[in-house]
Amino acid sequence: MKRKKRTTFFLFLSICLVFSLTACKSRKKQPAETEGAEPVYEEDVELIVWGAEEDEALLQEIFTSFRSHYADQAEIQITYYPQSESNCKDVLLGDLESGADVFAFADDQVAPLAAAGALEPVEDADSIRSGNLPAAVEAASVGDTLYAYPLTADNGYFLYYNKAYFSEEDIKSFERMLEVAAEAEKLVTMDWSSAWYVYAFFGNTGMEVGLNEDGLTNYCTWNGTDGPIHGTDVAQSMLSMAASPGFSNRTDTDFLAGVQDGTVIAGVSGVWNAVAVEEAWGENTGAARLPSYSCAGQQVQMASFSGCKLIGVNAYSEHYSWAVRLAEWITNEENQALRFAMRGQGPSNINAANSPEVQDAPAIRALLEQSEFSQLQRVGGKFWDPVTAFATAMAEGNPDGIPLQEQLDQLVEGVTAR
Amino acid sequence: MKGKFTLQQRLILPIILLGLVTLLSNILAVFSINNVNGSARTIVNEYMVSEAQLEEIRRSIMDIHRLALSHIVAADHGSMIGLVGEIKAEEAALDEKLADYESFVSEKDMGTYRSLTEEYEALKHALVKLVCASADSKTQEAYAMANGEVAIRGSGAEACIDTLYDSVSAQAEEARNRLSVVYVTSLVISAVTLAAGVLLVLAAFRIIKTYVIAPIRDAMGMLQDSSERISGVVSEVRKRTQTSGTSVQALSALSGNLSAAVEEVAGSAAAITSSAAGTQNDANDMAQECAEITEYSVKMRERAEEMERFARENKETVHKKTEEIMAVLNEAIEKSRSVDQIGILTKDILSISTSTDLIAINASIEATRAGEAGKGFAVVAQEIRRLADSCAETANHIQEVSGVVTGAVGYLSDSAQELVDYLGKAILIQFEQSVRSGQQYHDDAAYVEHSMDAFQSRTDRLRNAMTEIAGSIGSISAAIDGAAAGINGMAGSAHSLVEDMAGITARMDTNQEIVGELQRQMDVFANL
Repeated sequence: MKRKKRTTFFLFLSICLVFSLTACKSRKKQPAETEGAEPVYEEDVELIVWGAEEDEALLQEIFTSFRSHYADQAEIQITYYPQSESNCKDVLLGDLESGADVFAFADDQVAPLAAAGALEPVEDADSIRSGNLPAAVEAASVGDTLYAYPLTADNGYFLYYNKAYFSEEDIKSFERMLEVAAEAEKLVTMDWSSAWYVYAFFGNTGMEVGLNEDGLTNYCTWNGTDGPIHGTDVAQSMLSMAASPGFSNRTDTDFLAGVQDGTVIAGVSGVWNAVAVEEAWGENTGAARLPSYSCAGQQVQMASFSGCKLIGVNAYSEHYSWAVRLAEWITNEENQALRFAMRGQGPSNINAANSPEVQDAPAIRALLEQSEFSQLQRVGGKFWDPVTAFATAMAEGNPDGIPLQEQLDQLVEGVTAR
Repeated sequence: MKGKFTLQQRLILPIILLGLVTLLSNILAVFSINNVNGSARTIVNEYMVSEAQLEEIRRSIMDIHRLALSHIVAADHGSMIGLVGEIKAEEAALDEKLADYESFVSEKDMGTYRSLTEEYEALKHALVKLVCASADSKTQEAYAMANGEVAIRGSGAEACIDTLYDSVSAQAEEARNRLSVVYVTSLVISAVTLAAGVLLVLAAFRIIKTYVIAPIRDAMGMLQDSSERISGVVSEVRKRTQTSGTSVQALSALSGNLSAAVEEVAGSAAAITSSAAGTQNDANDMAQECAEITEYSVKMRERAEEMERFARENKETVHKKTEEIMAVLNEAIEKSRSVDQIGILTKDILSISTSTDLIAINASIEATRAGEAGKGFAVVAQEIRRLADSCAETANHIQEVSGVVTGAVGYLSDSAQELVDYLGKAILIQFEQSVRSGQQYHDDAAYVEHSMDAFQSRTDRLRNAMTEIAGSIGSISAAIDGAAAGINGMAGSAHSLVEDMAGITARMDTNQEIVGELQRQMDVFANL
């Protein structure tokens, strides 16, 4: 009997020992450095990041600091792919589950991305709200729910000009600038292939475009014939500009190339090109609000879209918690200050935005001047293509000869389509 | 057999046989129930739950599909966000359901289960693409996805579920068949045990009739005779007991009356004792008061002596003082006689003054005569005359005062004489009366003291006599109380005897009833 009891006791002890050893094994493995060997991590984290092509150097530096900061927790591999922020949504929703873990995008995409389930509500929303400018927080939200991390509060456009060619007076009128450029055999550029910039001509004419309450479809009156300025008046002004030898319709990338090769002496662009433009023009770099243009016998101040750039975390990320940490890291105060220093982009972080360096930057000042005539970019997906088609036709001088009103009607029909 | 078993054994044997049959029947019933329960549990816990879970999975897939279609037709981003959240939540729940369901999958169906999970995973991917297209306003693309990949994967998952469901249903049917077999087997066993039980009951009935009821009937006959005899005896005893009870009740009533009378005498004795005690107390009080009066009369006598002595001393003192005052007063009166000399002297002064005045008149006349030479002398004469007049006037005043003083002295002398006379007569008489009164008080107090001594000795004798009387009455009272207690005890005993007689009668009644009941029971047994 006694022997049987002892056997039972040892059996019990053995079971306890096996359980305790199993428990030890199931613990999360800490990085352990053995002599002459690399640290071993429980978790190998691989993240894909999409960002603007111009931001690669900046992002690589941010990735380096991120890896260093979490070096004791995981082996992190971050792969960067250039991806335009303006059409990030289109690419991402094309194959969401294979898309980037962390991505930069313009704020007008936040609603469709959330509607597709690509973005989850931000967990630490309160600290994000308190640390960023209210406009940026609003731009990153749908309703009252925050879905993305504010990155910049400067997603607008204004005028870059070379002071060697233009006086302060010249830059008040787009036509005058075209004359100066033509005389100098240089170019003033604007990207009419992007509806984002084309809004500049219609924004202050009394005609309207915007998002319906459903958050999907648009309303648009750019074919209006009732007000003091008709849609055809604007189209006619655009045709006149396009006909000028001093005007060039070109993309943002081509604008920068022209600035760098000296053929372009002014153009409409944003703060993302501030550093490159300054490198090209040096102390002749000028930045100001957009000029007015002649329309229906009057000078109309050019308008602009404003917005923010945001960082999103793919809801289907395999390493979601690490992707969240990286998004927080990219958008924290230090890295927004670094972004301004390297890329001249205006921070959304309140502390970074209030720094003297940011407050004194010419591009930021120009953006602030233009903000009086800007509108938060809130248009549905059907806005872009019809406007681009119309503006391209105007840039090419209406080669098909389609009546302007008809073209504008088509534009409105396309923009307001369901 | 009749000689081998006792009656007890004969009674117990059929009970034991029936118990054994019942036990066997119950064991078989428990075994059958256990079998039925096991089969039913398998059907319910495995197959029915499995079927229910499959239905849940099917419904979840349909819900997800429906939500995805709702996403396409949603008119705004807010609705889409809500729908995509629901889709994800439903997918998470479905993931858990599928994981839970794996434990129900038999090895035979594991392949189908794998196919189901694969189809579901593919469906989820297709749904993501559908939702993305829908959210990006690519409605046609979304519909194409819904009708294409999503529909295919959904159908594939449905087919897998159907296969699993059929398999589970088949297994459930097998289990039901097994359950039916168990049920039939149980019925057969129950029928067999029931038949055995019936046979045993019949056997037991026969055994009881032969070996129990017949002997009991014989015994009942004898018991009935005995019972009738007991009934007769009981009736006789009851009758006698009732007679005794009546006598004892009369005795109890008589002793009760006697007890009441003795208690009344005891009450009177107690009252006399109380009165004697009161008289004794009064005698004591009287003796005490006599002693106090005697003591007071002694003190009164002492005070009378004191008063007499004081009056005597005062009388002597007043007499002595009166004599001294009279001596001094007479001497003073004698000395006051010298006031009479003042009158004589004033007369002399008046006489001299008159002479002086005459001389002054003469001198002035002579001075006038002398003329101028006598002028100075005339002035002196004038002054002397004025002096003489002044002396005469003063002497007259003195004479008046002297008269008043002389009168006063005379009056004083008369008054002093009256006072002396008064002291010598009235006061001394008063003191003598006081002395006599003190003497009289002394005599009275001595008389009272003597009388009170005699009264106290009589009072003491009275007190002793009362003490003896109280003791005697107490002894009488105690004796009466003892007698009363004895009579009460006798009355109590008589009462108890009455109650006992009533108890005996009641018991006899009970016996009568028992005999009757016994008779009836024997009648029952006799009818067996």
